[in-house]
Amino acid sequence: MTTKETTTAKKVNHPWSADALLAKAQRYAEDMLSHSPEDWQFGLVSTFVLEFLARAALANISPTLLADPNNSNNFYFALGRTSTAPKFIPRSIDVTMVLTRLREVIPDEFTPEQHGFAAQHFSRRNEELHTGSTLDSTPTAYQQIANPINSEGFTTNAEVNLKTSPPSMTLYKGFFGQTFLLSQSQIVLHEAVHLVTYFGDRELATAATGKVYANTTRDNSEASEDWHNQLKKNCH
Amino acid sequence: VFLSGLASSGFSLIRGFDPQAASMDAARRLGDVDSVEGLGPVQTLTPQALHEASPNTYSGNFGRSSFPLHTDLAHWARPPRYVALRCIHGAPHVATLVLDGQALVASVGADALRAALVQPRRPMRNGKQLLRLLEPCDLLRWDSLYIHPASKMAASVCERVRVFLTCAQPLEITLLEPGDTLIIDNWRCLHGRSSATEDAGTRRIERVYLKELR
Repeated sequence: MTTKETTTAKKVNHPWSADALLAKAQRYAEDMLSHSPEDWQFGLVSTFVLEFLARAALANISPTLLADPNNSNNFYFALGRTSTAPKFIPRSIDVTMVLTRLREVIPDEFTPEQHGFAAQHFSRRNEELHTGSTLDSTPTAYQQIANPINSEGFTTNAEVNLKTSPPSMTLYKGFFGQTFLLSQSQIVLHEAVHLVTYFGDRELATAATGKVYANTTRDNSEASEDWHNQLKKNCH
Repeated sequence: VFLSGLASSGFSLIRGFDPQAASMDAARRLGDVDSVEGLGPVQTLTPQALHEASPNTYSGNFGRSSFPLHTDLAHWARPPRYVALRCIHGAPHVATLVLDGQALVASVGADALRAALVQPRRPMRNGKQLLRLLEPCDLLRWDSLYIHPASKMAASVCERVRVFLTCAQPLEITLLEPGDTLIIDNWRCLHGRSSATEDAGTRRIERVYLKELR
């Protein structure tokens, strides 16, 4: 076992702490895995996973980065204090701003391509949640990129364990080990984006890599391969 | 000496440790006392019948029967690091049970325990926080009463923990003489209590939480 920190007892974690957000991402991921990757629910829940991961990465630097700047009490709350403002309800920034801030605070790790990819994925979620159109009826929706399980050179922890049937939470052995989050939040984001390429489409792939994949089909995913190569390059 | 015992086995027993001293003073000689929200610095533990005890306590759930192995305040984000149990009045037939959690980790697996999300059985500050059976800082938590699995996967891991504990053979330590003091690493070891007969009602143990040892 590693050396343990010596510390004072604490009743609850701050709801904007990296630990709390990461745990929530994990629970959504478990729910995601209860659906088939072919199902629209898998795609929808994956956006929640990605959002909580992105928030956790920001919170890992400081929970104050999640505070909505329109009310200074939000900063006070983020610092672990209790606001005396009447009827105050803490408010964090929306996910678009989360991505913008990640670009600002870890520009080398959270690349414009990743930003574009994540923004596109959240845009899909908004379409699902705020309009009458459905993800599963969109011709270019989640099914069109080949399943990366079938890709050769699929070497991360997530990939190896996705091959088990049914996929299990060991998928996240590294992903949720928190070692990453403590030291390299960029890897968390890499893994998150990697996860959502799993059910992306040509449009999503283009947003992620900046390239056009006219020939990408379910059995031949050039986009997926590009992404994995990028992952490997960035993670080593 | 007691520090090396803690490092090797997760607990340390000091017989007859300054029996005349108040528990708080004795605890201060061992380390820094932790002030735990909602509890006084020194808590007195005595066997109680089911109907005598508050329902949200171990005695209120198990009465004088044996207490299952657990870590203290497992439903807290960060439970107290060390528990010091000090005998004020002993009972020869009542033992404190201690099990090194490293055996549990070895059996169930650190990865499985780290991935297992649990929640307090009741909301705390308007919510039920998500916790891990094994936190990244190697903080092990377990309580069959106060925490519940938060997912199907966690339920499966919790079941494996229960099976392990059913077969486990904890050490039985009797705090008999005044001053007998047991210090337990609450992030590593589980502890419990053997059953207590009615005539053991005079048993009196004082508990102090410590955040650091000297």
